[in-house]
Amino acid sequence: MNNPANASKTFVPNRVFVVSLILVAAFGGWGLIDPEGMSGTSLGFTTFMLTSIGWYWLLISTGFLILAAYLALGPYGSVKLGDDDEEPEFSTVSWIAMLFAGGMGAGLIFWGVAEPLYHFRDPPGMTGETAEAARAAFKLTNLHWGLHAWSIYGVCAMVIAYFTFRKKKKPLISTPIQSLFPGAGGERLGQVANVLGVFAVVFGLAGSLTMGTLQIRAGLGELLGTPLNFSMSLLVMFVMYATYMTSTSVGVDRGIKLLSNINMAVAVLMVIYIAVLGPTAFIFETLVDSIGTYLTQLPGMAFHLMPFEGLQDWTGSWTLTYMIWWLAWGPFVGIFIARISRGRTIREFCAGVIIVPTLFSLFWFAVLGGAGIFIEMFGGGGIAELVSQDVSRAFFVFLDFFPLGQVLGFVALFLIFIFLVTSADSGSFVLSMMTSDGQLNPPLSYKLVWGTLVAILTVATLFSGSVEVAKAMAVTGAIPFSVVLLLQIAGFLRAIRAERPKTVANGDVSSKTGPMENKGASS
Amino acid sequence: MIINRSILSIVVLAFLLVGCGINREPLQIGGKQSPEDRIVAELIAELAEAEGIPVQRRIGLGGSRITMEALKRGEIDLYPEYTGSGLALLGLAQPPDADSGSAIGLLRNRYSPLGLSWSEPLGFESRPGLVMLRERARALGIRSYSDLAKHSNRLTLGVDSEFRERPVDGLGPLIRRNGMDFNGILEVPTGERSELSEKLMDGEIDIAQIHSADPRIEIFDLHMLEDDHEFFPRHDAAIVYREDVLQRYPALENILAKLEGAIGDAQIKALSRRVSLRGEDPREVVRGELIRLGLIDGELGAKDRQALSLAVSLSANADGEAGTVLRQLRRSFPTSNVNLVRSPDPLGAVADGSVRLALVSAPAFFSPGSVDPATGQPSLRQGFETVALVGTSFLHAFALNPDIDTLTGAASIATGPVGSSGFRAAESLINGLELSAELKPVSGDTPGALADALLESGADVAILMQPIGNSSALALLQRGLSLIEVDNWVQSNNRIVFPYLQPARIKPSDYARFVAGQRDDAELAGFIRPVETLATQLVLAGPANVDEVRLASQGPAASFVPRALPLTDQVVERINSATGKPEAIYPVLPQARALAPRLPKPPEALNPSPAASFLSVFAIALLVWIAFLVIMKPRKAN
Repeated sequence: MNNPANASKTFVPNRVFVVSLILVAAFGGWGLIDPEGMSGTSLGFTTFMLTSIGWYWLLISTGFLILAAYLALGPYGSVKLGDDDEEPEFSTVSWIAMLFAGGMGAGLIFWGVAEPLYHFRDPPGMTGETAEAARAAFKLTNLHWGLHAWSIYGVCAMVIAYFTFRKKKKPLISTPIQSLFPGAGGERLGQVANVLGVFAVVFGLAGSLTMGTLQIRAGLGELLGTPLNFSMSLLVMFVMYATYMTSTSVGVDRGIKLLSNINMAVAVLMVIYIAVLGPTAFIFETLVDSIGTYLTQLPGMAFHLMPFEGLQDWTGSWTLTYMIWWLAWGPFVGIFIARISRGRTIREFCAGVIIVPTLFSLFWFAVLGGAGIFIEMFGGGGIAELVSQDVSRAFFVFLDFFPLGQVLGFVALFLIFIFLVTSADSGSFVLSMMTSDGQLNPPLSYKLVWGTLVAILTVATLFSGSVEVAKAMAVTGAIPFSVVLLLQIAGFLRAIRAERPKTVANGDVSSKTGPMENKGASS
Repeated sequence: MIINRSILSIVVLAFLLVGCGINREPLQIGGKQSPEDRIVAELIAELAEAEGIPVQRRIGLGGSRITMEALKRGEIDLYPEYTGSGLALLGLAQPPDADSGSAIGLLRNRYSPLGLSWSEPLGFESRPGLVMLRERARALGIRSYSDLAKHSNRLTLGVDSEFRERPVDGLGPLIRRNGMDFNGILEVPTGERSELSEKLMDGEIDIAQIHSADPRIEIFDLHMLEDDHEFFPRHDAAIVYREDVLQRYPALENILAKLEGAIGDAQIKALSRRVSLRGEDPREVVRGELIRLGLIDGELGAKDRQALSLAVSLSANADGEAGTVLRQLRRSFPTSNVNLVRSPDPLGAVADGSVRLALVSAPAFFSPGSVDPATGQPSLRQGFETVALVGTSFLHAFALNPDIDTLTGAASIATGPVGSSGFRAAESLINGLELSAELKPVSGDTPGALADALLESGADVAILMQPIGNSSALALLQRGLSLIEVDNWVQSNNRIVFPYLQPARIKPSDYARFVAGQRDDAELAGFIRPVETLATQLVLAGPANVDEVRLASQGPAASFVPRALPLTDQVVERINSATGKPEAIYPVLPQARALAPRLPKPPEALNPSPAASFLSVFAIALLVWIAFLVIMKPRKAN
């Protein structure tokens, strides 16, 4: 068990694989045969969950943030996710590039301009297009893309990483749950959790790839005037499939790493280009101001629902949708981040997974959103109007304000493409890990099977022509997974308690089994 | 490392590329607010761009004073100005018989200490003046300013703010020079001078200040009063520019030379008509004209991603409602380009996402022929909602065959293209009156072409569903065709089955103002007594939410839908505040959410959703259980 390399190199379907496949086929088939019924049901379910227990989603999301802060700053900060003398597997730059590329995805590109502008124009409960609205716009955007998002990923990842590298258990969703409930019941619960995880990842990935394909198609249409039809989607999807299959077959240490580094470099270059050629002083003023607003108002915002304003709909459409979105990606990004975080201490892990990406996204939004709001407030304007109409078009019109706007458009499309490829690559990697009984380097055959399955599902969704199906698929898995995640955290918190005396003693590390491992059996 | 080095080189390269552009400050082209000024300013901008000069447009700055101030401060490098205004800005005035050359000489002389210079005259004049409606002027016997002075105490004058302020050739000096004493003076902001002629048509004012290049003078046949005291000097258009700009962009000299005497009075009026009445974008008008003349290369109607497009029917009057709507949209969305697109089925253009708004008559929302079993009415086309009420369309039924005098007698009816509101109205008419006529849809790209196509269709009757004054309808009326009555509409169940067609009456006097401008005492031979017909609302429509479950109405989950999203409430409110709301929109038409009357909320039930309560309890139980798992077990173990 400690040496997954011994496991078979060929593709042998196990129970999790078979059950997941049946479920995926059933759900996917439903979406194909009756797209409206499927999206209606699952979106109705999600909407009901978002509106009727909005407090629960915000509370657990904020809870993850508090938990991450406690773990980083509390007594377990120096616990290493790995043996105490282990060195990190990836360099810090590559590590951050990879987790960023996997976690944020293509949304960051379009929403960089669109979200601040949208809130600037139409902020909840105040007058739009004012100075206060601009400040609120950054506050809300950073709430949605900042610490909360990365804490959700961070917690999902830490739980897995701790059990995998510290406890030398399998990198499976079920592992922390089984440690909570040892015995047959726990095992069955774990299997259910694993299947749920596979389910959430497959659909989250296929939904995102569908959306991404449509976004690339829209972008190509804007830039080159290519037709917006199914064959174009198919072409985009095929190129994407070929790329991520190539990347996945060369392995995580080369494929994803290289792509993520390229992606990060291009993204940073683009944002610097915009910052320098745009209203630089204004952008940095925005950055400093938005950091201040975010930090001072975080406690309030983290619990800010709007029952008195009667704006539950707004919270549901924006804040909670984002939270659910991050949760839906949790199992997949979590396992992926866990996989690349071997050998880091919890404190280092939290800084890398939560603080650094948050700082980057603060910068990202200050640059793109700041330039957009500058254009709207002091320049020619006209982008905010488009945002409510067509987010992707708004983005390309925004780029046209800069020198070489057309080239920037292609750069942005390239970024989206690489983001999606990295996601698909890490997704098929994670799926293979989950269904090969937790091999850290699952055999290629698994990755090919899952990569192809996800591609088929994506093409089928594209064929059904319903974006709502894609969205339904992307978020539905998040709801049951939130329960799984809470159970995982409970298991993790109980297991890590055993670290306390040892960390204080800072000595013996040979025994990793906590005392409660056996005690739990009495339940 | 390799990546880092290549990053560095790309950054350096980017800076070099951009650096080249920054060295040359773009040519700042200013312009006042009137359509003529905008056109000339765009003309220079387009020609400069064709010469490779980087241009920044600051067109529509304000009146003469502000624009000249901007020029003096160097915020703009040039703008079109008139010789008379140029002198008036210095407090000078030349005698009206002075030729334009002497004015330019004087201006150059007086402006050179400021570092400014004047180009040769462009060829057209736009002299300020006063206009009245021809009938009213005739009735009062007013031909000149002296006549006006006698009657002025009973009349109201409309002026723009700039004119009121001008100390040498403005309102005060005009009144003092001519001994006038107006009953009232109505002032509009400088940028909205065009409203004066509309107020004049509506009888709100008796006399309007206008500039002689304004195309409305001819279109509305306004009477320009004779300036018998020679109060206003010549106002030849020329370009005033900063002398240093010629050193920065020597190519500009050629452009200015090229423009000398290049734009005649008739030409500027034709261009201005397209901008001021048809609501076209000045830049597009100028580009089109230059491309037509072969002066610049380019492609007309290049895709403008930022544009807010409005689709209108092929026969819609550019000078009428469509132009008004366009102008109002421009004013509501100053930062967007608003384009006009002609389409046989404007709503269809909304559905495929090629335009954002459509100006249609209510029948366009229905598909006659099919019947909605629930209501017995023609079924409503899905995916659209009305956004604002613009006006009223009337059913114009013309007897193409002079022997036909009732609709029942017609064997065939010609209409606009399939899908147009005229076609749909005619279908409804055939169903409602149980006519046996067959429909002959024809098409024409312009109102005139459509009128010709209708005439040549060989049908007995032609039907148009258009507002009063539509050019196609007017063209048919002027050919002497008579209008046929639609009289027994209310007898059958039609007001229940086709609630979007309501009985109405059109009178020859409704058309009088459109005919008057063409020739004096014109009579429409076929339209001498009021005619009973049908009317419907002319509305602005946009895409509506298709009825489907969605995760959210806004935000990340609502985006990237490959079809048009509905207009936001804000946009709807902005459009409505511009168009005004004379009456409510027909209840049968789907309406934008923002138009629905806001009801006071009834008190909510104490527990609006038992399911939500159950879910909340379940969630709390889950959280408690998790907390129990974390906290309680180890303690028990200890």
